[in-house]
Amino acid sequence: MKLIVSSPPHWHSGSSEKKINLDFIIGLMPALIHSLYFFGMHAARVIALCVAIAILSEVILKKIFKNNIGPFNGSAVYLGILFSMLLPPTSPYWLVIFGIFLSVFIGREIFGGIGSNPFSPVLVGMAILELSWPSHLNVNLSSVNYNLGFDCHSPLTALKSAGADYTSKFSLFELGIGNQVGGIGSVAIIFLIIGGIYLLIRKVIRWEIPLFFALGVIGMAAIFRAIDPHSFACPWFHLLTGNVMIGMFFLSTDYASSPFSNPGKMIFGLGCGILTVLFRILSVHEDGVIYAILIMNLFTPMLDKLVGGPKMLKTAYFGRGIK
Amino acid sequence: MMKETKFRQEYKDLKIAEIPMPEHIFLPINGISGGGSLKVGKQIDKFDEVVPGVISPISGEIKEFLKVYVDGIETDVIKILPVENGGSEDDNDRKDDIDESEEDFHLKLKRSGYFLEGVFDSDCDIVVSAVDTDPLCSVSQQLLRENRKDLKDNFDLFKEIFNREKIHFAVPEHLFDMVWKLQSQGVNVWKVVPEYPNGIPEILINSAFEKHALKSPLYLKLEEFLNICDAAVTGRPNFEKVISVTDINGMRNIKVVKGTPLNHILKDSDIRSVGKVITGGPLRGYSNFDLNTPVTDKTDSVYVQYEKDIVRAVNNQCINCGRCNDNCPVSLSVNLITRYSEFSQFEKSMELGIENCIECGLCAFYCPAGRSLVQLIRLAKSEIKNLEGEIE
Repeated sequence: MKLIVSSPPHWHSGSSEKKINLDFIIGLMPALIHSLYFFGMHAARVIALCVAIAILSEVILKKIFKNNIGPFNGSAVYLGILFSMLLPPTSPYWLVIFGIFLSVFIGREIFGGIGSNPFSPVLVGMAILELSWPSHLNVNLSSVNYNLGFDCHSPLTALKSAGADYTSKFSLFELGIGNQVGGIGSVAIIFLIIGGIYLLIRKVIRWEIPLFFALGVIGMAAIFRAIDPHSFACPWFHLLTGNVMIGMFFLSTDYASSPFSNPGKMIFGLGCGILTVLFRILSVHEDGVIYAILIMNLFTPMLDKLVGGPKMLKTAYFGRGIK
Repeated sequence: MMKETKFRQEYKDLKIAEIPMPEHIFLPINGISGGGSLKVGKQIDKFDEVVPGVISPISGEIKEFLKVYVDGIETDVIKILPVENGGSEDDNDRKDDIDESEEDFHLKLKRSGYFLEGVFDSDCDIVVSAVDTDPLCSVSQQLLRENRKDLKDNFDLFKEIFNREKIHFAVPEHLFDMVWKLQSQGVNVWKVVPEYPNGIPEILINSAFEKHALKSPLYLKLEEFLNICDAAVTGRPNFEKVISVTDINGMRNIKVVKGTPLNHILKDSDIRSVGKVITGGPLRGYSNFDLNTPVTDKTDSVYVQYEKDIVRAVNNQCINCGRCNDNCPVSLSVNLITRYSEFSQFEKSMELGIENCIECGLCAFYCPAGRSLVQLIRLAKSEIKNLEGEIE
């Protein structure tokens, strides 16, 4: 009789990287459909280009770095879709290709592939593009040729240029259902929340980071609001504009670059939220989510040390030792 | 806690069946030589002295000396062919030694292979557990069902032998109704949720350590407890072991003579083609490569896995999702420990408390990358042991 041997456990839950990435992609689907509805083939072009280049560059880079390509696990597809959500629909071809290539190359593969990246790969590519070609990523300019049926004035630009009193013109309901200009999918607030809740229910992400991210944004904005209501926008405005929602559920929860310890996750989320508001108020940038998360990624190894350590087992002697 | 699957260990009433005597049994011994015939209850000799605890469970002829692997450890065994009506050791000389008085429990226990001096003297708390340690094992809960009427007498006897006022008794939640009356009779009954890994001795004791103010607890499985009580009354050791056998057709509980080889059990359960034969539960068990492996005191269950159900080993990169940490019952940073182990930095994994790992296998069960985490932990543990040996 032929017997097979192996190390325990002899059962497996059946979870796999492929299933996790599929869940992430399903989580982005509502926002993706919303973007296709608004921008049509222009959005489809950016998304398809991102996914194709992400897969292609991952395969080529793994070949060059002599890494094991392994079975298809969908991580490049997810990375491509997530990257495209942050871009405006009018992004030129070369910008999209360059950005997603840098995400895969500098964001992930240079460190050894999935699981080894110290920064969220999407944010690395996005930060390079934002710092190098800000005019191509200007959401106000990108939306002038569309008839979207609402005010094509980015609420964050309005806050920066016209002050907090002007922001009362944006109704929170309109912002919440995604009637604001921004990236392809990053401002579809309610659709991202639906996707985020799906991820929480499927236990793909934990609740700590999203919750404390939101608390950080609301808390910090509330402090500024309390100091001077005429200079600083209300907390809900900060929460419902820009990349906060996509950052909360998708960007900051990247497995490799966020802490694995649960107290660490709370501080990480809180830090992301606080830094986002500080960037928006104190820096020249309109939206600071990308930089806030990148900075907090730096703290991840430190935050992982906050985990309480193992539970010490009490000494006990057991009946099996009796002879 | 982020748990995807619960390992509920609540099994229905499966009567313990007896199976026919095997053609031969393998009795683990430690280095004896010679041959001849044996009687039931014969203490096996090593030249002149008696090997403690090695008592022949059947009467028969010693046929062969050989080595088999029991849970991965090379063990010397003797092959005994049973002889019908071979007689019992009780019949002649040993009977004279036993003091006829009922009170001589110590000697009776010693005769039966239980050397419990340490327990008589110390004031440790005794914890009897009727919670099964592994999934696919219902030995303890079935014994609780079948012996519930005698439990009170057994506990009274046990308290008398060991001179204890209180004994702790851990029972699975769904069987608590059967034994709640014991609470008023000097037995501290714990209600335990029958879910893996709650039944593992380390976890069971530690979860109740503070609550019941235990001091140096002694853990006994219900089966061991019943055997000790039995031996104290009759002066004869227990030669049988109850095991749960699970295959694709479901579970059955059987009673076999200790030393019965696994292939006899499989033949009796009509299991022909197999992929893996696992002794000791699907999450912690040992997959045997030799079906001559005998049933020992430690064998609680036999799990037969078919080729299509087998988990294939892959070793993908860690994606740092943290599921292993969320599911670790002793809160280890499994992802860091195993990555240190993978890259031979064993001292660093020691700093993270690797010695606390009880190898329950939950980390590898939940790992989406399919990493063999338990194997990496075992590698680190053995390497640390080697390093410590070199230092000494």
